[in-house]
Amino acid sequence: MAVRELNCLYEPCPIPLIKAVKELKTMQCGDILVLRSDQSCIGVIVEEWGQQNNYLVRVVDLENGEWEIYIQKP
Amino acid sequence: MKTNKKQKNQIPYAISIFLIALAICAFLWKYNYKYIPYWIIGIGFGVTLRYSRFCFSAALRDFIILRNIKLLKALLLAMMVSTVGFGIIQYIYLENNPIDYIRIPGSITSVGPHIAIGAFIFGIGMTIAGGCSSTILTRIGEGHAFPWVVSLGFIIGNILGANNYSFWYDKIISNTKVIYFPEYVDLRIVVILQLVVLMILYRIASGYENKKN
Amino acid sequence: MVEWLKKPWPYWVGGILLGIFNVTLLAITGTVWHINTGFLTWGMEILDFIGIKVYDWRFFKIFNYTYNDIILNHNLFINKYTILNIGVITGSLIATLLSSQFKLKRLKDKKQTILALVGGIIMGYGARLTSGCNIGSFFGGIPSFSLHAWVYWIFVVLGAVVGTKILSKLI
Repeated sequence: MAVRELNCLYEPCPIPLIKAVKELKTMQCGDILVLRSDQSCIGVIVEEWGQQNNYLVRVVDLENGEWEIYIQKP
Repeated sequence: MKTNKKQKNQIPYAISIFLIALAICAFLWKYNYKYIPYWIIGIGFGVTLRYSRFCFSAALRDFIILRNIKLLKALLLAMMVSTVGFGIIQYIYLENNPIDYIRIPGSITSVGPHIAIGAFIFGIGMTIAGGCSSTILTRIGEGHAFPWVVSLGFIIGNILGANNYSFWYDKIISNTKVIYFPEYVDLRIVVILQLVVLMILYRIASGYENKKN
Repeated sequence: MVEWLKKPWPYWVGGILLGIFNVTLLAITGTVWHINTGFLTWGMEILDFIGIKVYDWRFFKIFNYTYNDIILNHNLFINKYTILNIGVITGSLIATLLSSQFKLKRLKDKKQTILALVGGIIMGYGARLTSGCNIGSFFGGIPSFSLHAWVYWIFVVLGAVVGTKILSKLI
């Protein structure tokens, strides 16, 4: 089970999600992608997307205004 | 959502800004009290947009790309509330005033190729810039740098657009007309019909959401 | 209490509140919420400052009703539209600070800056063509029972889809 990090700080929506989807396509089942972003909407949007596509998503609040989003490929 | 202990509490800053906002209210009361509703409602829009993570560009784009239906449904709710409210306001206005598109409370303009072109390029612009107009303002309030650049783009683009307007006007816009629904059907019926259409769209969206899950 | 201040509101709450504010603004002031119009007046102020006479442009003769008051009273910098815009920024700032999520962020790189600038210019230009941005023309237009807003809705979605394809290729 590999863990990959994707730093999307300072990139506005929807770029972090587009990049995450691209990256996840190259990953194996069970792998985890850690997406780092400073967009306030990204947590809710990735959670929605995860629900629609059966990916497990966990959002973690980091220091002021940054989030780490853990996405696991099913 | 777990929280990391490194977070600095910024609530005191929030209170300071709020007090400054109140002070500006008081200043406007003396300077030009007519500006106060704009100030207060503007702040209301800002707080709502930020707290509900509402993004018009996402609502308009994501329901096709990402199948994010929840935002679209919320947008439809906003439309329904506005339809009823605007309907009442326009009804009261039209009781005593003739139909004059510029003066009717609301945003009424002619329909034609210029709308299609303008909306299309706006759609492209808002996606590559990272947000529509309201999102850009919200992002400035969050401390981002890129919306300042987009705002500069707004100023340039608007000026260019105003400067070029006579070209578009002569070629296209002067030949278009306004289609204002209450001119053809009684306003009350228009309000009900529009509400029904919005509710049907809402139902379709809900159905699609449930099917996906 | 602090945790509760951090929680985002559900989308539907936002939707209903936005609708209520939209109606309230029209009811109290008779004006529809416009965002890009405020930026236009700032642009006019800047050009006026450097000596370019924008008032002679045909655009302002055509839209005399909207801009005449603002021009006559020299309210190009502070007027109802710019106060709305600054209000939105302030509201967002207060909300962000209440959630302790404010952080000054820098620009990522040259590519992002160019995309932001070009995107903004395209948006501003499109907003003038449609007499309003997505807020003025669409959010204010649909409840005003004007057909143009529905056409706007269809084409802005198409533009957004094309824009996303372009963005995917560029990043």
